Amino acid sequence: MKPKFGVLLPMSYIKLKNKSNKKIALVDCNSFYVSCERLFNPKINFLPVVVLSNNDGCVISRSSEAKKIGIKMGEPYFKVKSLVKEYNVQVYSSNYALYGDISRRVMSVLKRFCPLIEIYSIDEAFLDLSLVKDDEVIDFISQLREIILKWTGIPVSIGVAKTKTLAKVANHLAKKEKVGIKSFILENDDSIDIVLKQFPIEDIWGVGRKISKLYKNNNIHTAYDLKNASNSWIKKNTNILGLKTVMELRDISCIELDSTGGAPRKNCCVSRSFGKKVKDFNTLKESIVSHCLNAAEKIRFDQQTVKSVTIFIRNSPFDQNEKFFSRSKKIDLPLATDDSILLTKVCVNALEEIFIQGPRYQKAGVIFSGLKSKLDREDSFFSYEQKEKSQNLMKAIDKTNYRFGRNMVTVADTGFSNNWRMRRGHSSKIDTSSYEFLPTVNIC
Amino acid sequence: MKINEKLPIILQKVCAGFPSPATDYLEDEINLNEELISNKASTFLIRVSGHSMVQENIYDGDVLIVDRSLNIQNRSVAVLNYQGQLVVKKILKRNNSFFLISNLGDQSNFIEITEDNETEVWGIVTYVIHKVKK
Repeated sequence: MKPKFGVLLPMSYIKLKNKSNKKIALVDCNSFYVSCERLFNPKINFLPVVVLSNNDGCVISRSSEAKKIGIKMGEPYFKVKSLVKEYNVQVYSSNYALYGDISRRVMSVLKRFCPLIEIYSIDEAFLDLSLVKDDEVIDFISQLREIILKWTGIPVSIGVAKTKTLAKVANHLAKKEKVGIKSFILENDDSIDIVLKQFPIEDIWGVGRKISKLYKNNNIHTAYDLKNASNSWIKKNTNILGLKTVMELRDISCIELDSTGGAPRKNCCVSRSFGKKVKDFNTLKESIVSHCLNAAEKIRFDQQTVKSVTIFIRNSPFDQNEKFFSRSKKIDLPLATDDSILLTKVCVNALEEIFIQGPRYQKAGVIFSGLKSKLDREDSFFSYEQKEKSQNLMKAIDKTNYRFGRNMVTVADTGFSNNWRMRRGHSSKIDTSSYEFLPTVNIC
Repeated sequence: MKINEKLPIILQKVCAGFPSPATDYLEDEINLNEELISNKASTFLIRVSGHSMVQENIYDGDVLIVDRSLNIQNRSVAVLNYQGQLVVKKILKRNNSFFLISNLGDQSNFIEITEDNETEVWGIVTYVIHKVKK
């Protein structure tokens, strides 16, 4: 059959129409944070390793050896301390400067070999491989995997299928294979169904805890069950995402690859746990102000303004000596702004309102919501002059901080003591993107 | 020609001194990153501590530019994972095998780079950044 529009049809149009030939890969870095730590410290290559969240709270990355001895994802550190001792588990504080730089490297390698990429998280990316021939997919992804490992030192798993949801499933399988790759492209429906029959419903991409409960109550336990659920039942009982998931399991691509870099964010949250518990107002204020300034800098960088500010403070939910205490306050601003000084004032006022003496505070944070692009802001006539003045001041602050390091110029409320700052007792203190903190090789 | 000579002097831009011939080239700054790093994604900077590579002009505190994407060749200087330890060594090729040279006192030992030996090439040193002390 002749194509309807002849050869003049733009490439992108052909691709959109030709859905049956769609090929999506999911590339996922194996135990990413652990792999980053191992890169400069091969001594821990075959030992169980875990990386802890901010402030050494919970386990957020585990080597396969650590998984084997029963350390669970997200478990609080104090709960696994005995396992750590018994099995000589290597423990690291999270070092996001390092992980961020390594992630950038992995993503840039992917982009070099496949320009149609959606960076999904710090350690995951979807690739559009539709232009790779069906019988060359395995070759392509195994070479890609080798190059990433050689160039960046990070082992990855790659799963390929016709839809994003199935690519996620394929990736799960790839993780279990020694070669680290799995493609559904040349497999027939029956052999994919065998996989789906063993795939638990709660592990499917986009199926949350709540909805998987609903599915299980209705005798849908595996991906295969969901694939064969009736359309009308799905429509009645779930939302549009539920339906999309089902379609995707049936090899019909519904969730497009977004290679534009994603929509601008609508919220910006900066919060940290304290290294030492905090009781007094002033220390709490210092931390809230510091978070507020960081958030303000972030939104200015993205050319955004904020309309609502929320601050929150709380003590530790694991503290057995005192009752859980958590308070927050949301302030709607009369005008959207990006002015650090104004925002700081708002935050401090709010803190004064919700603070009470007594609890041993463990965490404080600031959330900016209702973020809008500066370009489509409805300008207020009356405050124009004041705004321009503050714009120039903010620009000067950001420029200085960019050149001389964060918080070189700041408001006095952040204080100088900073003894609430994060606890990072096990940090590798390596930053491959900073001349000061380069990894060191000892050649004595 | 005559018309030009009658141009009022005020319309001609007059500079004191010899005009800089470099003004046309102002944008051409040297970018050391571009000169020294051909593959950004695979290149790491690594600081060296110790004196064992002085004969290769690598001194204590120097920073190595290390490219992981390159393959070892005869006489490469490489960062290796040698039994769980990162080391910097000179490589020699003999009869299609690669050896790292380990200096112990006056004696040079040749250790073959193989998997059974737990020797693995981490990256190839392409440049050494050495600060000249006053």
